[in-house]
Amino acid sequence: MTEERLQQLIKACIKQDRLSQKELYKAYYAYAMAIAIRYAGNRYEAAEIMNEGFFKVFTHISEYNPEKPFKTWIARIMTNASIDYYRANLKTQRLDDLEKAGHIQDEATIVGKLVYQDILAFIQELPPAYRTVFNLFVVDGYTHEEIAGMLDISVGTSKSNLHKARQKLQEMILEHSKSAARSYPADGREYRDVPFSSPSLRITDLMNPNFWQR
Amino acid sequence: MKKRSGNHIDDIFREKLQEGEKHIDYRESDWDALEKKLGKTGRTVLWLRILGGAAAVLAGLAFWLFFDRDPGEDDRQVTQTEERAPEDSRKSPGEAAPDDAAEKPGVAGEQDAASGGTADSATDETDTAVQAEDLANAGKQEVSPLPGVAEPGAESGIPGAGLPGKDPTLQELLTGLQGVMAGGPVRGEPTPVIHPRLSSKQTPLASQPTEAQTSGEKTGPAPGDRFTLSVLAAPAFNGVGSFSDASVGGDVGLLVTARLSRKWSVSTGAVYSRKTYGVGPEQYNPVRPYNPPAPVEWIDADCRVLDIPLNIHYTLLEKNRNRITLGTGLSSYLMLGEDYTFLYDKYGQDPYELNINNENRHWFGVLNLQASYQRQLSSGLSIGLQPFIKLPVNDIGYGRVKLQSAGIAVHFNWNLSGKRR
Repeated sequence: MTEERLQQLIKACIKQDRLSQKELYKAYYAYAMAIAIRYAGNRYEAAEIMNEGFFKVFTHISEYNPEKPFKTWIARIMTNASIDYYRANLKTQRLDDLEKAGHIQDEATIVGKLVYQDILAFIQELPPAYRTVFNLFVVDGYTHEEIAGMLDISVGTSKSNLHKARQKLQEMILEHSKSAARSYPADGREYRDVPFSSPSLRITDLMNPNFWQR
Repeated sequence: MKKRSGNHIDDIFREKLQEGEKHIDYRESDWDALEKKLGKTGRTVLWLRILGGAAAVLAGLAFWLFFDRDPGEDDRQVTQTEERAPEDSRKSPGEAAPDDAAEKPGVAGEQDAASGGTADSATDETDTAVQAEDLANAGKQEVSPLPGVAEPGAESGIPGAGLPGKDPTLQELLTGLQGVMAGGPVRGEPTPVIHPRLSSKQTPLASQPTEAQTSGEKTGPAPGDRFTLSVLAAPAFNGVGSFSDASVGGDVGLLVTARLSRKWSVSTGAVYSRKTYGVGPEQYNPVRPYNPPAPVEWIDADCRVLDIPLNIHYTLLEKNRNRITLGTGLSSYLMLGEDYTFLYDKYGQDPYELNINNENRHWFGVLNLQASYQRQLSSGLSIGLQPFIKLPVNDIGYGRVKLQSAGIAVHFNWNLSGKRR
């Protein structure tokens, strides 16, 4: 989308033109969903977060400063919507207790071979508190002080949750590497094309032709 | 604002997650859901605005109708009451005005029958007799609304009357009142005068303090409660350097307070305290240097402490059954047990737990600041609330951190002296 077209759409959205809103929605759908899905536990939660974010975009679009990149503005709104969703659902969430994980060697190599879907599945398996802090710190680059302010937690809790998130991910990587070694012969093929879902097996997984290509 | 994690695994996660846009397919159902939200909310907002505006209009109208009164109306009512008051005071004491009734609780039952009659029909002689009766009755009152104004007429044979052997005229009463205002009361003597038109002498009856006066407004009791035993419990926030990362712990303990004078007292005792807190590696300076296997990201601490305070207290206010004190002093921390959990900034690096017992002592290493409100429940028992803050004078514990605490203690106190306060 050209900058000129973007500005036209924004002006039309300010006037609440529905067609322009939809075009803008479709143009930034993937970008916004990629942010929301990192914070969500599944695709449906991600859609809810994303739509909440777009709702704020369209109701506050008159406040957008054209001198700054629109993508950055949307990214900030989506991140805030994710955090709001997390905080609104705090009472229904639980923090899993961690078990001590053994050391694994060369985990960087294993992680490096994982595809986006695998990485995303690991992230979505994290407890919401860990997942949120991990995303904010590792992916979005906020400091612990900033995260503490955004989530209304202490700096120590932010650091602790990040540490626990890494430990949990390390456990999942270890488990993944063990199961990959058991299930897939060492013939050089990568473990990939798992349907876009959580690592747990579903009926829809069995119906996906890619699932059987080993 | 933003900084990047230096951890290699983090980098891989970040790179792969940021390419997620390429893997996401558009779904029309998501737009349908948003469209409903946009459309529904628009109508909802409109109705809310209409209702909100109507509610605001109705509220303003109600306020105007019910609360907007002539500001002079109340003043006129008060004026009428005041105008009636002097008139009512000239009536028979048996028909005391409401104000007089509040100030003279014993008036109604103690009137002489000879003083009956209404103010309208009273002659000057009757007024004088009424005044004398008022003076007599005033000597039997409990508390004066005019502190500092003493009971008059002590020299006459009639308690509360003015000059001996002579019924006071209005001029004499006014003169007496001026004398009172000039001379002031006798300090420490009861002040039972109710009637404003009286001279400045106390009567024998009035000089005897009532029970209400001895238990009422006293300038301060004698220090009969020499020793007090207190049991306290307190939730407390603990933090290093500040309370931004504070954790909640708790204190329970026993204190003994010795009252040195009416204003000053000292206390000491033993308080068992659990102090949990978190601290970054930059503020943690362990007694024995160590080489962690990876950079330390955070340290969680759980310490059990025996707090031995030595405080001095100043009684700021003591009235009726209430007392407010300010206190300060020093505490000694005996570290009974210290548990530290080290979290590392590295994938796969397990936390390290360090346990230390009965190793560190910090004599007079903590400054105490506190205020206390105490309420007497009975002759030997009182309850109190005490907000406090503890600031480190020395570094505390194995990590040698600037540990500080703040909280509110609830304490029950027993007067060991056995004397009534």
